[in-house]
Amino acid sequence: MLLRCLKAEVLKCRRAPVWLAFLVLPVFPAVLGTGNYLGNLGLLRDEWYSLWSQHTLFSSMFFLPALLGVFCAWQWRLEHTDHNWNSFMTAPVSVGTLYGAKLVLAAGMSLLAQGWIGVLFLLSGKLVGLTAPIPPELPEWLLCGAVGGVAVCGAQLLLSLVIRAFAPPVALGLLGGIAGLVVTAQGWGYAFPYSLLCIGMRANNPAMELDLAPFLLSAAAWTAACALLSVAILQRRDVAAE
Amino acid sequence: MKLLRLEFFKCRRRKIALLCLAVLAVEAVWIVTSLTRQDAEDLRQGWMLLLYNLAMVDAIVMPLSVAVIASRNCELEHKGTTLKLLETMASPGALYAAKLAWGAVVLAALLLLRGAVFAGVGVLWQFPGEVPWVRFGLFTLIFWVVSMMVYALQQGLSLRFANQAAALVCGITGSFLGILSMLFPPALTRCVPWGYYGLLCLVRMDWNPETRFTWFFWRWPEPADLALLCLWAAVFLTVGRALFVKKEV
Repeated sequence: MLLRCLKAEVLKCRRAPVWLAFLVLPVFPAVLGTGNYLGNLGLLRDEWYSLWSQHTLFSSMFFLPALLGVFCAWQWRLEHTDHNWNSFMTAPVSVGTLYGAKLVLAAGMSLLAQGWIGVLFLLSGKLVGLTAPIPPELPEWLLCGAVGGVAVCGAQLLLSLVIRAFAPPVALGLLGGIAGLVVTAQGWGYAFPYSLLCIGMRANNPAMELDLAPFLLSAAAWTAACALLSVAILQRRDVAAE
Repeated sequence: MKLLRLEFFKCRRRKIALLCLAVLAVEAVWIVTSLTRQDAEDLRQGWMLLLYNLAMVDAIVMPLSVAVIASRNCELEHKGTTLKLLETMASPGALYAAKLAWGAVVLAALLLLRGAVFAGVGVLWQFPGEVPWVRFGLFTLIFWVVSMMVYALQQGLSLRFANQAAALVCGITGSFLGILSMLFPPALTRCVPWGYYGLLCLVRMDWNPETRFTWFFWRWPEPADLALLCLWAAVFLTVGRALFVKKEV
């Protein structure tokens, strides 16, 4: 049933231009990060690793949480408009499954975004003529980034479900990213969903270290907590269709 | 004036004040956190450090915040399909101007309050010297004009597209380019509308890579940059207004 709901969610997103944001926006940090890398070759001597540090600079903290926030807000916007709550809540499917389909789709977008960021990183490295072998850890960085992204999606889906407007949850996504920066600086990064994205991508982490077990545990716990809370809200709150 | 009053009525329960307070709270937490990490030597130039950090935080926070404020004010017309009714009573140009004036008042209130809060932070932190009121006032005025330029762009987008994703994605791009443009050469920064937060800052930083010593100094904005800012604002205003006026409701 989850698969059928997922198919329905994909159908809802057909012809939606939101994918364009995911395609175009990651190009900015890639181009600017590469430019910054070329401008500081004297200081940045670790080739691929230095280039990665420039690509992930700012983007994982300010930009990806808000971008994932746009997608999650988009998903609930479909239900908030055109009386769609009525058909959504009367579908012969449990609300848990309906919510699960949205979360899986958002997780898929997080993974695709990381894949695109990886492609742009490799292209930039080749264009600037890096000769060292491609870091074998790259898929792990991207995968961990995607896992951190799923925790962000959980939080953003919850916010966009509760707040029946498009803009405020996206702004809260940016605020979450900034708060993630502060929380990480205080050493509590593993306990905050918005920090998990940059920790997973090893942003601002020259040693490229990650404690995998607490990271995965925290991401799973945050995603599960947000999902359970969202489903509880869906089950208990009366819908107000517009 | 009546239309402007109506805009305030429309936004009664849209939690605009809460939104502005959230923006202020984020900026305050950020600035205070960064100040706690400075030693006494750094705080000798406290007022300059404060305004420099404020410009940097604004470059990140304000583009998306302005996008959200504009979206909150324009989204309601799409949701209620009210434009068809409104345009039977007032011209689209007057409606557009009223919305812009509403944004100007809200942003002015936000930035004035922000200026007062951070002047208070400086006094409480006991930064050396008097409060530089004139520079604080000028800083607030310039950042209000930059925010209005961004607001004109965002209002145009929020009114043109019923789906607010377009306006919000533009806001996110602005936040990202706003901070990154502080690393650009000035010629390139002038081509980025959100880069004017950094470009028109009244404080510049000089960092010596050998001694690793950071030094701040006052500067006045270039008249050419101010003229370019007005040009950007005029372009966004003209295009946004023309798109709204010609739009079939």
